[in-house]
Amino acid sequence: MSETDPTPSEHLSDARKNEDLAGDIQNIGKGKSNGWTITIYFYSALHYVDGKLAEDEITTENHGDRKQKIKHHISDRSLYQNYKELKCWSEKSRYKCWEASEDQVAFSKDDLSLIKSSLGYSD
Amino acid sequence: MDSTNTSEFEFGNAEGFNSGTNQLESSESSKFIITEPELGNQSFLTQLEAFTPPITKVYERFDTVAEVVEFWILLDQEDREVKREIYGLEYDFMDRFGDMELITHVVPEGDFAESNITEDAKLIYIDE
Repeated sequence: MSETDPTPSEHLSDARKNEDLAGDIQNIGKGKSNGWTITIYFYSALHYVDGKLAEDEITTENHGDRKQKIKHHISDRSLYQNYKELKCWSEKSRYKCWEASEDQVAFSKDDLSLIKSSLGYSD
Repeated sequence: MDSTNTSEFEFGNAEGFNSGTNQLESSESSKFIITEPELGNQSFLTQLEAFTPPITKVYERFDTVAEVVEFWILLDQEDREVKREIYGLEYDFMDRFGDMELITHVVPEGDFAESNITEDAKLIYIDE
């Protein structure tokens, strides 16, 4: 890790801020911001993952690299399934003009909660 | 699909595909055209067979320059559980394609357009 790489606590801080922001947006948006809520949940998950890796001084370069490090350093199949679902929905919302449902927002929140639990982070 | 050792599989004339026939040696036990048996491909596709249906079509692309092997897996309709199962297979087979990154895209057929895939993608399975 270099001096410029975020520390585990910095990643955790960003993860929690994103998670709170997603909740705020969902409350304010009244169903019109489902896609962005899911996207922010995805980036929260990304920082939780990167934070856990950073505890072992492991950094990630891009999505493909992060995927490999989830497999080799975190080694949690269920976590990967939850993470990939969040990632795919986030991308679909941003690039394919997909309108996510309230159910999918709820599933996304569950995915993030399960990822946190897998990594040993509390709610 | 012909189940003899040497089979002909005629791709459609859709834009972006090479038309004509492919003569490949196909496994009698597989529904898929196995294009790269020496990698993890055959065993990955064998696992994927469990989801046919609801899988309706599968396209694959091997990019040895970018070191990516990519699959577009089409479903007859949206199916969250099947998608997650295929993400799990992606996790399981992540290291089985040498230095190539395995990427899966699982999409309901109604959301898929042929412009979504690259010209070098090959149709390796179609539900008959």
